[in-house]
Amino acid sequence: MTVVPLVLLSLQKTNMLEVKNLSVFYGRIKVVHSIDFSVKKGSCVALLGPNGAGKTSTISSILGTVSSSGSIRFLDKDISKMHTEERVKLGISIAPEGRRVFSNLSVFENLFIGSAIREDRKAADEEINAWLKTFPILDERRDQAAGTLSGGEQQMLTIARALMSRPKILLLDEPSLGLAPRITRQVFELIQDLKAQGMTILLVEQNATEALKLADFSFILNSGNVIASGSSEEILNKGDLMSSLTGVEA
Amino acid sequence: MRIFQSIRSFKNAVWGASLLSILVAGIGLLVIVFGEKYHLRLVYAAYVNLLVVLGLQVFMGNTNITNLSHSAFMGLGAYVAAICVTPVTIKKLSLPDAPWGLNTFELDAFSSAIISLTITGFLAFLTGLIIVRLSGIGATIVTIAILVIVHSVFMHRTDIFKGKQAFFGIPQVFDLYSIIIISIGVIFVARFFRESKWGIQLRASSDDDTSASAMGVNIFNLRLFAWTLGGLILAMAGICYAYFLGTISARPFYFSHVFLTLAMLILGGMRSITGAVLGTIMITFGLEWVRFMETGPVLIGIKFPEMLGLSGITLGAVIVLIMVLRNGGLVGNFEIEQMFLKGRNVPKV
Amino acid sequence: MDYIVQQTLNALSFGAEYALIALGLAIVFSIMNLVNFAHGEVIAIGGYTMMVMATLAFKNPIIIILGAVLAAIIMALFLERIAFRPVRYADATTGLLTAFGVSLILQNLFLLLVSPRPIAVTSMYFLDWPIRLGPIQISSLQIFETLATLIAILLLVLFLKKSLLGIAMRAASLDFEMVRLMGIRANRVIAAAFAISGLLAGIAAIFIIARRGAVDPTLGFNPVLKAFVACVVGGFGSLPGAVLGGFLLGALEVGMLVLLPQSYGGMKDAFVFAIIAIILVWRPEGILSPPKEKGDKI
Repeated sequence: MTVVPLVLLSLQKTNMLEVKNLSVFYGRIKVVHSIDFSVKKGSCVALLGPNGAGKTSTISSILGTVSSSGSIRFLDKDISKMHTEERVKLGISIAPEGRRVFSNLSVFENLFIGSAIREDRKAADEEINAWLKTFPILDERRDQAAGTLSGGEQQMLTIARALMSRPKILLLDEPSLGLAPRITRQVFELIQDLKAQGMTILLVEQNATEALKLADFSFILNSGNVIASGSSEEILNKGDLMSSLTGVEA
Repeated sequence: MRIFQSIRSFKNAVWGASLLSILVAGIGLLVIVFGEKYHLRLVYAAYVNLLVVLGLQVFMGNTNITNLSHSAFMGLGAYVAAICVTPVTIKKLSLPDAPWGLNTFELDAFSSAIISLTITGFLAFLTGLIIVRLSGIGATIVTIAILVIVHSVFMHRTDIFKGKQAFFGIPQVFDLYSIIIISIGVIFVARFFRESKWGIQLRASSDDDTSASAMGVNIFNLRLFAWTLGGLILAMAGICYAYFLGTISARPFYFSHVFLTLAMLILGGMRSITGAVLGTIMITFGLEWVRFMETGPVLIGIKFPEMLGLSGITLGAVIVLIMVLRNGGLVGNFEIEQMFLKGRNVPKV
Repeated sequence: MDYIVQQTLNALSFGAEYALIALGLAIVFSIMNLVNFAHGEVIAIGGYTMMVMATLAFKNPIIIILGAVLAAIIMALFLERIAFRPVRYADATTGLLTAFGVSLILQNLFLLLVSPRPIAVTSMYFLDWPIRLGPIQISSLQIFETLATLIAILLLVLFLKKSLLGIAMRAASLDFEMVRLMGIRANRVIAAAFAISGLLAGIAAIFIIARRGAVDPTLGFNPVLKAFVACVVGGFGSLPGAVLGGFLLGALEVGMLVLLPQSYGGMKDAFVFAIIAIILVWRPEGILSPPKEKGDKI
């Protein structure tokens, strides 16, 4: 607990996303209790924790699809009262839990709709082609319904779709959920590449081992509270806590 | 087999139904004592609507599936009873071409009512077999189909139903006292069904089929039972209608009556019997006033213009406002005895 | 043979009208789960607009047509804004009852403000003249109606396939929240759906008026009841289903007229609705039920 404020202090100037006193509600039920966290520009921050810890609720509140209280500042603007659509336009994009590709649209249309907020049509079209080149399987199914893709392919499409809006921060919710180990590795490689290109990433994961490899800084959630935070090393050093909550053997 | 899950729910049902009965009977008796002849007819019609609303509540309130066919079942009840009870001499005149010897027999009022209940109940059961297999909006759609089918049969089999023309010569069997007694009986039936374990299971399942099936409840049979019971009450409403007015025609058993009674039910709150009764009373009195305004009366020296359509606008506005502002109706799940049994643990399913 | 061709053309034009109206219902339902029974009154507004324009001495039929269509679009958008937005996230039944309420209000407003009786509108009669094709006699109106419907369907398909808003509408029928997460405003998508439904209602109004030559408060109620049935049979919320259902219903109706003996002619509706009920028992979701899942969870 003593380490956190110091770290936060040193990051203050370059925080892209800053969440303070955030509580999330489903009707009258509070599922996240006044948590604080922040994401520095260009960094990868992970929210870890067991099932039902409030990770997805937290990430959803950043985009305003669940009701919440507290302050959410993005690029020094309070966005907590904005509509979801406005937040997206400011540069937040999400690859949601369960992927949620538009299964009745073609692969191309999924990418196309991802670029909905962009004005530079030509550059966007080139980017779609670039993505299709990166994932040849998507290119093969360019005009087929996205629902016919496998889980891993859908995940790639979801991330590509989220990036089509040229976001300043990318929220990834359980990108490895339900994927085979080989596919999971590919997904994390993709995230690694994005990070290397300087993308700011907020990652929600149950697969703590992989997430800790990627993350510069992590917050551990349990029952709607932040119970620990720190760099991957610090987290791994807290051995007992980690193994009980995330199954990672320190 | 036990009908109620606890003594308490039985007691609540008796209390609530009794209080509503006192209310309903009280209004009727006041009119009998103080009202004029023309009021009697109006109040009688209001009681018929109350029966329809209660019949509607039994299915809609417990299953949360919107039914729009209720006026058709009421019409069936009315016509079957009317055809049975009307004297042969009149039927020879009014239904000269009736098939199956329908114009060659006449029965007493009681047997006619039993036959009407049997036939309408059986038709309700048959249609129920379809309805209960569907869910939500799909079921509602089939109820619309039933309404249209029954209505076009009424309209076009003029040899039996006389269509747009009046089916006349039905002996007057009932008076206001009779329908007050019947209303009280139906209030008890509807309230007992709501509080019975079947009613509770139905309401528990109305939001979520899967969980209810997991609970081991045979939802289809329960829904079918509620639908058929509702159908019988609606038939009873139709019989009462025919047994007082003396003439019936197909027109009143269609959309405008469907919406009138539906507005009554959802205004009060379709999940409770108290809501059904309250909504019926409010709309009945409210509409009477609106109809008065429609005719362009002179009030405090001001001549109001004639405003045909005002009652329809009012009904529509009631429906829209309730849906937008207070989806559960005015009282929601509230039942009248809760006003008097405060502090005691009244189940709120 | 001539008889068959003639009846087929009849069925097509009946079906075209139902398909046109059914599409308007389906496009709104697919996006916001609303069974918009007030669609009939949007059609009626088109009819009343023609009446008003005719009395204001507008002679040019093109202007009257444009005026009617525009009025229908504005009416649809207006209803969305004041009546349906508050129940946008409610369940389908709440939406259905709201729409019935709105329909009741509007019908009675027409009755109160205009007249309970039909009023003649003859400005669309010019669309209707008899055409002889060899031994077959048909009406130009039937051809116009079928053609207009086909063109409308074609344009709608193009819009839904090619434009961003169209693609967003298709996406929204599956997962509206995800569409908002793409930064596309919910109000825009829904307004587009209502505008299209209004446009289709306006076109339908032109043909209904051309055939009936009069407007009354319940002008749209029965056609919408039929179109609603068409939607149900085709699979509610499915646009191809709405078109299929519309043409199927047209074929059924004409079939009933041809097959039923004269004395049963009035019972056409009863038979049609009974067949519909049977189809629903066989396939409760309709023939082409739309996909339901919200993305794959695992």
